[in-house]
Amino acid sequence: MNRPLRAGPRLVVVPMRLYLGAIFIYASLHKIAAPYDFALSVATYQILPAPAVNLFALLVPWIELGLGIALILGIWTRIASALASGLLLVFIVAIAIALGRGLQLSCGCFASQQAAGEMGIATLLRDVGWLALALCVVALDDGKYGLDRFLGRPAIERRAT
Amino acid sequence: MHALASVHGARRVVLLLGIPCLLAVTVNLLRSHPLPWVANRPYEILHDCPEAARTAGVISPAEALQKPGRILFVDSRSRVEFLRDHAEGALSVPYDPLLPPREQDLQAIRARRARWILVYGSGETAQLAADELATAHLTGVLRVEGGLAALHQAGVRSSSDSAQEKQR
Repeated sequence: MNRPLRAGPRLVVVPMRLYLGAIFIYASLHKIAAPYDFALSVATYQILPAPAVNLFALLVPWIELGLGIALILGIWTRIASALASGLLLVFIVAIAIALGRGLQLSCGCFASQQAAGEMGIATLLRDVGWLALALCVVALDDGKYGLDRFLGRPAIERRAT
Repeated sequence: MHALASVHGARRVVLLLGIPCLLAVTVNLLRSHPLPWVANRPYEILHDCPEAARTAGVISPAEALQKPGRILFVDSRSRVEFLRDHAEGALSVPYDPLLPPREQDLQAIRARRARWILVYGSGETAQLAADELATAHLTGVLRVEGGLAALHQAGVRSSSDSAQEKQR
């Protein structure tokens, strides 16, 4: 039987959610504005096959933006934060591979390769921290403090909790 | 019941991913210079500059000329500088800070079967060029102090001297 959480822990999730949403939106803007620069950043990791680089560079920033908006407004928050966790996991794996290979590059997370500083273990730890926050939102958010409250969850989910 | 919940969840996942993807396609189509979905040509990725793992020794021109065995002079300056003037019999291997020595240049050096490979050039690039050749497992690589001018002073004939002699 699931015991309902008190308001405290649930309320803590709200700033986490807003922070993550802001990060995702901010990270997406320069990539959307300069898709070629982001594609170059993706190519520099030397992980994706060449034909997939542009596809990734074109779609991922918009997905980041969508998830960021969903997290800030509280729309389908748990699913959005679960997807954000998946995306962060992809970034973490990519950064870990690049660091493991000894590549000297910027992560391309918030600025182009030319403009950003070189990434390191701190970049990896930062993303791991964000992943932890996203997982907290998945685990604790109850949809009370966002548009989820008005959109309403399906009856089947309400009964399950 | 769980199946119904997962259907709802799946629909939301599709919407959360699908709407941004549709927007991405639309905005890219509206751009004056859309990014092609598949790159027309591979991206040029910058690599780290080659770093020499070995350091070549330094020798004065006078000492260089007294070395026993066959000597090969390697000119590390640009091709233009080499064509203007170089030590007689020297091989042109221009130093490129971004690339390691070319295999064909290394083969040309090996083909001369020289006991000593004496690298000269201008400024620090001569040392860097000599270090790269030493790193490429060539033996007897030394950098000549003072460059071409010092070699001429020590009595090494220049290409322009021999060209003048031929004209006479």
